[in-house]
Amino acid sequence: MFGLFGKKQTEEVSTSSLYEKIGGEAAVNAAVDLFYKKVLVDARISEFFDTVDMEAQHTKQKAFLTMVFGGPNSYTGKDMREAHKHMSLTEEHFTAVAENLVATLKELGVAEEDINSIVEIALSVKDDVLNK
Amino acid sequence: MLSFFFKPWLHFLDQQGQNQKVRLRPNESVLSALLRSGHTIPFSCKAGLCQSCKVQCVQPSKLPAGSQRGLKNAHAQQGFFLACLCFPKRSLDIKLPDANDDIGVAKVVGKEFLNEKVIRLRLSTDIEFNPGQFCNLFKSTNVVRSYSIANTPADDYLEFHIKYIENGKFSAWVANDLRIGDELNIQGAYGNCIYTETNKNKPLLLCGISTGLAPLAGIVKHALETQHTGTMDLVIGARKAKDFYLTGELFSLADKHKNLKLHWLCSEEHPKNIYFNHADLYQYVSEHFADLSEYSVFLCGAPTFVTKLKKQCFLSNASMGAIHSDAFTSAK
Repeated sequence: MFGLFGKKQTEEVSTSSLYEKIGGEAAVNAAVDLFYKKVLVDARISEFFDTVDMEAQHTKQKAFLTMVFGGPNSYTGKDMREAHKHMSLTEEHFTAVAENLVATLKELGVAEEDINSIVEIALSVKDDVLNK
Repeated sequence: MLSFFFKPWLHFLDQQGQNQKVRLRPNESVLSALLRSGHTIPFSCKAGLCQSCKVQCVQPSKLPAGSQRGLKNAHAQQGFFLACLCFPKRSLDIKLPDANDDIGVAKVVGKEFLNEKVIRLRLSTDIEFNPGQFCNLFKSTNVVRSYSIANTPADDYLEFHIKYIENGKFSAWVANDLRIGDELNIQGAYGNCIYTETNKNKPLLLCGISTGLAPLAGIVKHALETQHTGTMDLVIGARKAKDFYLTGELFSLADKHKNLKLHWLCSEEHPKNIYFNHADLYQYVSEHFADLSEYSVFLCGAPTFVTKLKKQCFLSNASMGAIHSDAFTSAK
């Protein structure tokens, strides 16, 4: 199933979005469990997830991945800010999530250049998440 | 911020047909506001689980997000919402529940203690349910408790396992006052912790503590009745061997169906009975079920138990959509 992430022909790539290129919703579904697991066991950030409703969090992470994959989403900077502003998050917490994201994408065989594009989108919400 | 200064109103007709209004305080739920102002509506868990505080809104589009969590689509579309989950930012016109809305009558057809603490209550009623769901049982309008159904529609009664708590408003009443032939009000059935497997070879892992066994027993019986052929591991945790119940019935079920395996785990003693083990449930599950990627998992019991084991099962590769759970909250 992770073949979904495989590189397609270059002509196709130029006409389709990053989201479609890496496999659309099926790719998000494959990535979300893996990503959430990594986040849950990462000692730097796991405490933030101890008391949350796991299903609800799973849904949010799916929305987050859809956004960073460049897919259709309704995420706004305001949502990001609202959701995280009471958590006193630091640079280290953001880095931890970003590292888990990269590790997930590598494990699923996403191409280096696409990982770079995804990380760029993730970085665009950093100020909102850290409430800067 | 405007909403900080503007306190919304609740407008409604009370049970006597009189127009009433209540001013909501900041961050106050509809349920809290109704109770504070002396209006009686059924409620129990105050956590959006039992659905006993369901009320209707005349303008569903004005309902704040999240106040219809867990309701059936048909009910949500009609503007029903849970008063305990609804924190309005603007004024709402609501309809208090009709006393008879959604509530049926059940007759007691069986009552016995299964061990020192657990009462088996059997009720005759015509409500429809899926095994694993729960009902609200009424002692009175104000004393309502949610209990899981422990059997399947193949029987002509509903079975509930009620943990006896000394001086418990509901359980002590069941133990001391309720007689065969008595009638009580019942509402339901609700809940999503149900067996809907179309792949009959899928392995099932079912874990419960205390009366969390009730919905699991219903699910196991239902799976067997619908010819489930995959393995079913039922893991039951308790402090001591004397806390186990339904042992005879489950042993004979496991005897008849070789794909059902029982794991009785005592956390606080080495049981004399060779069928029981001394083990920590979390550790036992992680050792015996290290890879749950193929499994459907059912978890029932106290919220802390469900939360902890859900996370553990997810980390053992169970997919989130394949973990079904029912966390029992105590009445507040």
